[in-house]
Amino acid sequence: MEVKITQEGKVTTAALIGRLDTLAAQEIAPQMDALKEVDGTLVLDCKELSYISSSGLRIFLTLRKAAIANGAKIIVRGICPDIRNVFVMTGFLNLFEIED
Amino acid sequence: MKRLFLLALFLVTAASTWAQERFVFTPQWTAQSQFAGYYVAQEKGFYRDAGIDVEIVHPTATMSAMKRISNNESQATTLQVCQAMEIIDGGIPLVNILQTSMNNAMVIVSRRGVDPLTQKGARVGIWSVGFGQLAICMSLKDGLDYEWIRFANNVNLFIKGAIDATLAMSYNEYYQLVQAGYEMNDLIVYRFCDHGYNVQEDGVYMTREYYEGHKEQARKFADASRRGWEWAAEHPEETLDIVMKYVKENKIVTNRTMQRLMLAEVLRLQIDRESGLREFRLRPDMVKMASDLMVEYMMLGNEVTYEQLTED
Amino acid sequence: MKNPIQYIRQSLSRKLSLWIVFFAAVIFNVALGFMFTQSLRAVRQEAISRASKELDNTVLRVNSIIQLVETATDNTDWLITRHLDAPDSMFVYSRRILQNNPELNGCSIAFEPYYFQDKDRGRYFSAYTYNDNGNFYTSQEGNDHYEYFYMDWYQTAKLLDQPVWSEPFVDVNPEIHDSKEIIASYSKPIKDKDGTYIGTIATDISLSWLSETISAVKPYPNSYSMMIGQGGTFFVHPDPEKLFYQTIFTETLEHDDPAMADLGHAMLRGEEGMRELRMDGQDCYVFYKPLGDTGWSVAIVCPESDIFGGYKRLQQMVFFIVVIGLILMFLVFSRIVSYELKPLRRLADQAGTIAKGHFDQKLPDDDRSDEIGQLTHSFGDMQQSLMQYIDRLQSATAQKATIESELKIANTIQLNMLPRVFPPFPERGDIDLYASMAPAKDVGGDLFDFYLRDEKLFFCIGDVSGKGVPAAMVMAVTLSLLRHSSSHETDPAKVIQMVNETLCKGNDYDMFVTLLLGVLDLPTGRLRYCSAGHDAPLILHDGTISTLTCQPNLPLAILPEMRYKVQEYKLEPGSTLFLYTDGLTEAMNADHEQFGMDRVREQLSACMNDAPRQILERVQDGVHAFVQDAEQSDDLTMLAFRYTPGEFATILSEKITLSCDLKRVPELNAFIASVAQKLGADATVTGQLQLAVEEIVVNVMNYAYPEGKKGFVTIKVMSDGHQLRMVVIDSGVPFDPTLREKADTTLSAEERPIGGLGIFLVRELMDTINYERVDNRNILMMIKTIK
Repeated sequence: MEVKITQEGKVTTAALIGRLDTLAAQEIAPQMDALKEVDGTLVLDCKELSYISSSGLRIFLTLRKAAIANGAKIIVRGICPDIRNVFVMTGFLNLFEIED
Repeated sequence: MKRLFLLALFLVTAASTWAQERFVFTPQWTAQSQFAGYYVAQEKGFYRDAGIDVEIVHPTATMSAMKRISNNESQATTLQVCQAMEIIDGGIPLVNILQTSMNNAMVIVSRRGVDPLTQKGARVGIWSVGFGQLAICMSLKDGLDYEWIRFANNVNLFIKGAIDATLAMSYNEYYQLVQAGYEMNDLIVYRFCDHGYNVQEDGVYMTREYYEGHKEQARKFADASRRGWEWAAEHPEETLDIVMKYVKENKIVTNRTMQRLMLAEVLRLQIDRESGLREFRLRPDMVKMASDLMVEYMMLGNEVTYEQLTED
Repeated sequence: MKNPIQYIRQSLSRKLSLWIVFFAAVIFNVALGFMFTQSLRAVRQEAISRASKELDNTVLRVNSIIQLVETATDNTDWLITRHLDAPDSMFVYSRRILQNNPELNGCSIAFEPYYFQDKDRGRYFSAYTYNDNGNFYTSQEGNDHYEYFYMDWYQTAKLLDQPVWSEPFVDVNPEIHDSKEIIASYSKPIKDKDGTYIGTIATDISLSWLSETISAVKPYPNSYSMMIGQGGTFFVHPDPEKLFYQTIFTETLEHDDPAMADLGHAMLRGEEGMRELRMDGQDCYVFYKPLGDTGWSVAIVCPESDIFGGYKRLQQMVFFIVVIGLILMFLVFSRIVSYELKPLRRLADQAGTIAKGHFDQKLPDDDRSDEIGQLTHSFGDMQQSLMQYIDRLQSATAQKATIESELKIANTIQLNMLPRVFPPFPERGDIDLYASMAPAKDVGGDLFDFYLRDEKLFFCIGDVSGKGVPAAMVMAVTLSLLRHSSSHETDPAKVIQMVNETLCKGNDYDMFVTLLLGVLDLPTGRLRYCSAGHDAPLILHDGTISTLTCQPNLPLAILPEMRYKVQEYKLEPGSTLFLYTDGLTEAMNADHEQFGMDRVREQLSACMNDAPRQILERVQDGVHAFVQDAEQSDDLTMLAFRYTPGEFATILSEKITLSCDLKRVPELNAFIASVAQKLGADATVTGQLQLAVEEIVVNVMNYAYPEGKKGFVTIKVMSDGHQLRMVVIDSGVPFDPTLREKADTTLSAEERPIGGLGIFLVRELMDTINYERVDNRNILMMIKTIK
């Protein structure tokens, strides 16, 4: 699992690459915590994300909560159909701004 | 004052100027059903219808029927056959112009509750006026040796117990005894008719002398009288009324019951036992029997024949 | 015309008066009857003694005169005997007797025929003197027309040889027309010195004095006297037709009259006495007595009507008074009773009006204090009460109607609370369930419920004590408590315990609930159940009926501290479990006979292999046939299900055991991926499987074992080609993830909790999940159909 964070102006892009299972979630937690500070627009690029467990979803939700507190904006971009399905199941589709 | 017994009556003197045309009939006894036929013939006008003027005059104590005949005060009377025989035997020829009785009515009634034939030497009442010839014959014939007590005209001697038995006429004294409370039965009543002494009794007689001159009248009287009896037999109750009229006129001490019983008995006696008919005739055999008996027991000097008694 | 009986019946006063009069009449009757009987006897006795006395006096008087005649004759007797040599002296003697005894009518001294022939006398010699009003005429009596010696008076003395009275006879005087005098002679035989009978002396006496003396005897106005001679002839008699003409027997000859004939004979025999007989058409008392030695007999005839005339009149008078009295009594009593009962009649009229529904009818005002007054008051009170009652009744009826309609609604609601859709699990082949409830007339307290959660069948049946609304309420509460409690608890004992505690808290009505709750783990057939005093279910399996063993626990809502224990039973495939309430076994027919367990078993044994629905219908029919028309007294609830798990033919079985370390998660994912590959699953399915398993396993890794304790988790994956079963087993603390509350996916990001998504996702991804804790291990099975 790999996370690539890029900054373009007010837009911070975090590209999630690989499988975000429970273990991976633990591993990327420090990186992701940093993203809580983002006050512009946070784009979570999921083009390379093939799997997500509930731990991963929990990270998404933590970020979302922080963003709301910061007045930031989160965009989830490019989720694959399987993950999109998980988002649908969990109601995350309504919580996040989803971009292809 | 006169001491009179029950038959004492007024004498109706028939001293009429037309005696020749009148026919006086005097029954032998006082008025009673024994003479019902004559009363009927008179009351119903049978005599008048026959063209004869009949007067019925009853006898009195002093003037008996036979005496009236002898005196020519009466033209006819009734007599029993035995009486008539005695009279003829005594010299007065009589003619029987009508025979009414066909049977003997005499009975002996015992007071002691036994058969009179067993009472040898008993005191037996007999009429003082001279009936009972047959009884005397019987007493002699059967050796009963009765002591004959003559009684006047009633049953008082018997009732008082002065005699053991009495002669009685089945239509008269017999019923007087019944009325006096005596209960009759075959044991104490001896009926002559049932013991060979059935000799006829009442008939109408006149002297032969008178008869010879008045045959037509005699025949008319006899026929009308017979008609009277026949009517009486058919109308007993009306006859009884007529009898009671005569009874009352003659002040006879009797009653209707007694006269009814008497009438029935007299009418019964008029029926011949053999023929069952009212024959109104003398039976020669009975005449002969009575005559023989009376001659045998010396009540007749000579035999009186049937021819002597009858017409022509 | 009215029927008199009806007329009397219609009125109480008439009836009452009639009874009084009736009893008065009975009393009068008895008293007067007794009095009259006694007085009748007295009157009769008095009459007899009076008549007898009169008769005795008369006979005494007559005898004295008879004696006089006899004495006069007897006194002359010796003179005659002494002077037989002087016939003419006889005339003197006969004259002297009459002169000395003026009451005598005549005297004859008569001799036998030719007795005085030697004294130049002829056939007749009878010296006769008679008294003609004080002039005495003496003469020689006999002649050819009057042969005195044949006369009765002469002959009787002669023949009887003793003094004798002749029968009376009529002496007719020819000179006086219609004169008729009755004479009797006393005759006595005359005997010479040798005792030879020579003649008769006879003295005559007119019987007119005798007639007068006897006729004068008249103890009663219509009584009369009579005398008969020895031949029965009447010599004294008031009837001229009979006097002398008839004897006492004459009439009996034409009209049989034994009583009269007997009287005649008795009198002729010289008897004395008294007889009752009918004479001349009336009942008479006849007193009779002989007259000395004459042979005559005197009798007094007293008509009974005379003797008892006064008595009869008195009787009639008394009867008349009594009848009038009774009638007056009846009228007066009728009036009095009628007057007294007037208010009652008015009351009756008004009561009739009230009875027609006019309740406001005013009752008569009456200040009487007697029973009738009391009745009026009581009736008034009753009327008041009645009116109030009817008011109450009307509102109560209205209320009741409301309640009834509400009850009906309640009942409907209650019924709607119960599962109603059958078959409930048409998609499942392993469970076929049917339940029915036949409610009694009133709203009842039976309940049943069932549902599937995961691979578990929850079912319960229960019975609330009592009936009516409270029972229904408790039933509803129980049902919802059960639903609620079982939603996050699979241990029936715990569920029951929770429900019990809650029920106990609010139970102010001392009601209780019997309940059986069961949870059947469908994959394994493991049945866990708990009975709170409910009838043990029956198990139909393999041709036998057995009873599911149930501990005798207390019913619910009695003891809050009650600890219920769970029981277990392994339900064999093909078994049918039959549950019921006591409404089945206690169903009663008209003879109060219960349906009973034996009949239940009998019904069940005939339909053992049928579907639950058929079984229940059959049992229901059996109950109906038994109960017939009897009213159903209790709810009848039955629940049955047939357990038929399908065979799981494993074609693939993989297993991995991991220590509880999150680092092993990729290993797990790899394992799943390899299995998925073997099954030919695509990436999406593989991802889903990985996600589900990971979520469960991570959960176990995180929480199953206490901190610091090393634990393992085993994952088994099996498939029969159609279905995939993934089982996660650990030995950690008991934890049933299926009980975790569902995450609410509709919440906003701020509101959503961070956790709780894992198990949610598992449910979403898998067809079903199922938790079981067996042998201190948590076993979670996930099932997904793959083809």
